[in-house]
Amino acid sequence: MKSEKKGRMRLSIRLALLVFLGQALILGTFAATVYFYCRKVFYDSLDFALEANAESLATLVEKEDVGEHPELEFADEVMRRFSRKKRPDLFAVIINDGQLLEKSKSLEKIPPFVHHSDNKKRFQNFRNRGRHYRGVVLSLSRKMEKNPDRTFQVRVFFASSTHPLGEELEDIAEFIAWFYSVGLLISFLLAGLISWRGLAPLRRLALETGKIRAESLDRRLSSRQLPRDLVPLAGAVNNLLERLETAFERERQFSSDAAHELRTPVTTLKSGIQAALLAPPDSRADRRVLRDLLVDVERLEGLCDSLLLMARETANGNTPELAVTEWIEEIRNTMEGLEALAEENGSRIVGKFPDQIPEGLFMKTDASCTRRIAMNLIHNAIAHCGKGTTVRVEVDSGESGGHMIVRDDGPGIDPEDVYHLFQRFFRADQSRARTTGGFGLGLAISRTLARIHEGEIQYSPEPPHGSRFTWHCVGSIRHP
Amino acid sequence: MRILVIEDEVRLARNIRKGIQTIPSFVVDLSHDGEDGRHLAMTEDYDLIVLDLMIPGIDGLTLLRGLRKAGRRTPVLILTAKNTPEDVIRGLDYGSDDYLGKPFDMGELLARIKALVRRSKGRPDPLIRVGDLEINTSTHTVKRGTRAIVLPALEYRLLEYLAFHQGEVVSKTRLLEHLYDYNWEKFSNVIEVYICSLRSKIDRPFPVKLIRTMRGQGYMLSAGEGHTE
Repeated sequence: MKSEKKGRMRLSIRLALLVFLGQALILGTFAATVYFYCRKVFYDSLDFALEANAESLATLVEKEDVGEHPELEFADEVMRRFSRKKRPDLFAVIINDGQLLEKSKSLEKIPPFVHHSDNKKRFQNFRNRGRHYRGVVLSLSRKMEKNPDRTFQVRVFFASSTHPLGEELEDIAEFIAWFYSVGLLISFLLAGLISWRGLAPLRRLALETGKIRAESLDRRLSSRQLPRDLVPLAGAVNNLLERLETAFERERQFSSDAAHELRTPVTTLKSGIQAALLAPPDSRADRRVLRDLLVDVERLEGLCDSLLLMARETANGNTPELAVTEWIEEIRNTMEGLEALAEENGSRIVGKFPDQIPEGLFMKTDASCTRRIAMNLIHNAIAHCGKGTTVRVEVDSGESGGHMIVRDDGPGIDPEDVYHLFQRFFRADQSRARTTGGFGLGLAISRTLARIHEGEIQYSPEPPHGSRFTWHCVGSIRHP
Repeated sequence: MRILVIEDEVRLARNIRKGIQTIPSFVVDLSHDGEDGRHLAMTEDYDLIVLDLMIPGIDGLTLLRGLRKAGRRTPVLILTAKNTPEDVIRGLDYGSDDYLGKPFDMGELLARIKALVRRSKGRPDPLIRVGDLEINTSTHTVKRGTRAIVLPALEYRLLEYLAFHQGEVVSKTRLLEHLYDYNWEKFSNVIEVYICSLRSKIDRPFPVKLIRTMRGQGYMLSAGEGHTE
């Protein structure tokens, strides 16, 4: 659910968000770096001051000679800073044996790390009376006053409140936060602007594509002003348009061809009826006209049937199934139905059907398509071959389907015509003399019917001079 | 008037003939391919040719061009399923006189045929007058003075042909050629028989005789120099 919603988010917003997030990340890193750098600089300078103070404090520790007690020589003004009320500095001086020499009054308790420090120098944060402090412990050796060859160890502790530092840092953090939020705002606007500007070519493309209508399918998207990465999109759209245009053109061409071709029988019908109406009543002549009309009506009907069958097969997407036995039976029946016509034409039909059929084989076609294709191929062979010819119908099937071959030893097809053979309204005999009947739609329709269900109809010359049509029909074995 | 219809759809051609022949003025010859059609058009003297363009053999436009090149002035009406404006323009530019697309209306075709014939004979008025004889070529009725005269088809055709060529001597051969279609056995005395019958209806009851026999040359329908028999 959530992902679906995300998927529907506007591309511009998504892009803007991504840009914004990226910018926020960079800004944030930058701000943090600045902050921590400042902090380090501050602490370094504090440490430097602490160390200086501790060192100067150490110089005040004096010892006359061995056996003498060390002393702290304080000047009053030095003491003052240790006794001021508000966050006084703290100190403690410890001599080598761990004995406390002196400490400021404000120091509640010497923090444990002072005793445990093994290093020569150690900085540490701690709390004194609830306040934050940072202190340094210095361990150093000093020369005795009267015996400069001898030294003694002094451990000096000095601490200052980190409060002013904290305040400074707070100021800086505040400044950085301001800077960051203003930066975020700007980057937000910038991200929006970038994505809006960045998507402009896409919008232009959409606008241009939107302008294309069914009547203006010859228009193409120009890729000249497009960014390079949108060129494939424009190319794909153009490709689609190309195919659409071809399909539309074919459809239009077909409709116009059909309409054009329908005109002839319609004209005959109309003129026949009108002539019959104009003529003085003569029952014999009228009957003849009516007979002629019937023939034309039948032709129209056949054409309409074919067109409808084709339209139906193209429109419904479901896959038909026909058991292989039924498939063969349909072909056999169609062939036998045409035997009388062949006899009339002086030719004969020889059928050859397989003895063994793969079990559970189903053909990807239906009975009416099979009838139509078989009828067309066999009828064509009979119609175009003369007396004394033989039309052979061979059916065979395997595991992946079957094929029907119709071959004849007739005059064959002119090599020049082979290319147009499956085109609509093509007739091998250009004369259009309709002695053989038909509209030149038969092969085109048969091939379309075969192709709708992944099959194919192919032509090849049959030696020595005949023609051979093969219908490959796809099928599959289904185990019960 | 004799009309040639060149149309490969046999049944359509028959229907056209049937339609045209409901008008008593016309007889029709049919041809179903270009070769045969050209032969007929070149050798026979037709008053009009109805031409389909998509015909086997020679296509219609080639036929038409050949006809015009040979100096034939026969009016040609193209009747075809090709009827885009470009087709019509090409057809007319090739020398046809009229162009009609399929499917057509029979009444319109007949009206166009009649109009073309009238124009080609130089008589655009459908009402032809010879003296007080009136021949209405639209309704195919004949009147002399105030009297309507009923004529059988062949006599009407004969009278109309003479009227279209009034003041001209029309030979018997020419009459035979234009009044009968190709399939008729042509005996020249048939014309004499019909002229005689026509005279009995047109001339005999009236003082002024219109049909004149030019001995050895033919016949003439004329209002001038009316003479009594």
